[in-house]
Amino acid sequence: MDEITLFTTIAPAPPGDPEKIRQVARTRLTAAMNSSTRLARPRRRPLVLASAAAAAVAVAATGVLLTADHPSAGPTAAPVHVNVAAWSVNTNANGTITFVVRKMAESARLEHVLAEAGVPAIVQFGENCRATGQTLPTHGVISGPKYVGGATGKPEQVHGKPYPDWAYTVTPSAMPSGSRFVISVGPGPDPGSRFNYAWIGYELVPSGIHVACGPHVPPKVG
Amino acid sequence: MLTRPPRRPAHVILAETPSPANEPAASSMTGPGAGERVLTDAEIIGHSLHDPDCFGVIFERHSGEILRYANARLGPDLAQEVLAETFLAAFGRRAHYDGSRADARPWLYGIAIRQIGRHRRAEIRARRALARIPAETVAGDFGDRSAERVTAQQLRPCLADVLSGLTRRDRELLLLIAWAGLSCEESAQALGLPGSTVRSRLHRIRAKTRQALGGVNPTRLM
Repeated sequence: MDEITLFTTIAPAPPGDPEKIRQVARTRLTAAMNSSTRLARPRRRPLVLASAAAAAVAVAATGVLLTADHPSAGPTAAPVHVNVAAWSVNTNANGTITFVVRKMAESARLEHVLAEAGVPAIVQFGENCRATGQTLPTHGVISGPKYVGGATGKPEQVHGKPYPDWAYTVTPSAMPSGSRFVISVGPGPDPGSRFNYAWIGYELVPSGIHVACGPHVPPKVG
Repeated sequence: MLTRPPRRPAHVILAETPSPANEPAASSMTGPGAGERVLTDAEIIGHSLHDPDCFGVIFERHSGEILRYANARLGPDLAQEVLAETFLAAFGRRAHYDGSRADARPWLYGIAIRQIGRHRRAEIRARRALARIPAETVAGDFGDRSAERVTAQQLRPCLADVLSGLTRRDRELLLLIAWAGLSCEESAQALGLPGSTVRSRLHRIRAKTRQALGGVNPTRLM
């Protein structure tokens, strides 16, 4: 024991109910984060669309309006088995759907195949898309990591090189009527910053909700 | 009627286990699986720049030890205030975080020290009380080193005097190492000092302590 270590022995005991104290601090921090989120969200350029034509334009841009003309969720779809280099979608024997994302490519086709499998989804590669309103609980609907950071963190490894396999299993029959997934895959918020990493995430959203895609993303890949 | 979901986007969740002290913070948001990697504090803070809710992960990882430190310095009532103010300040300054530092603990301790510094009178009272605290209410599990603890407890008034006699800067350094468990390098980061300055100050603190103990090497006291 040296002179410095001696002082460890006189440290006062920890507080009696640390969780109670932490909860007070957590509440204040959460309020600050929520306030910051409200301020940040308008910069996501959410689009409120008035017509189907405007919707088509917006989908090509940065916002998405999810309306009832998308395929509905349900267990009645025929079995699907599509396996391409970038991703795969397969119907399991129990009726669940497993999809695996390996690369950010062919997002439109992935959307289409997922819909055929009974899993309506908006798939966006290269942008972080989030609902601007309420999302739906996903417990019992989808299994797989809710957030996955890629095994690599550098932009050059994000662009054009294989991702780790990101696998999810969906139970279409558990999806609320009219709901769909918003699946975003992409690199970090700023390809020029030190905070780059690949990620995949999802939300389950009800029909009619607006989805905004964050501006802090690089151009689309694939 | 829809169940109101948590505000946090589905792709960012808080499944946290506090990282052990003295190890780089490396807990995963979801727990690492095959092909996944754990996210560092730096990456989470980077993500929180455009997704503020993510900062809650930093709170869950480190608030426990910041609270213990603040409690040791000021007692439980002010520790609650310091904890909340530390994380609010950290959240507000997260854009300035040095992303090359994977572990945010030194940064957080640096902020906490400034918050503690706002309560100097309370700190002086706490230090005076330190000399009077009964031995059984001190922290630390010394296991088979109970003889060392007993000896150190006998030295408690002397050590409390040494602590009070140090300059504020030296005291901050000593307590970061002895009570927070930071390394020399981490303490240097927390205090914004070069490593050489920290080592020099530690040498001085050791000398003062040894002198206060009557010139006896504490390792021979045990």
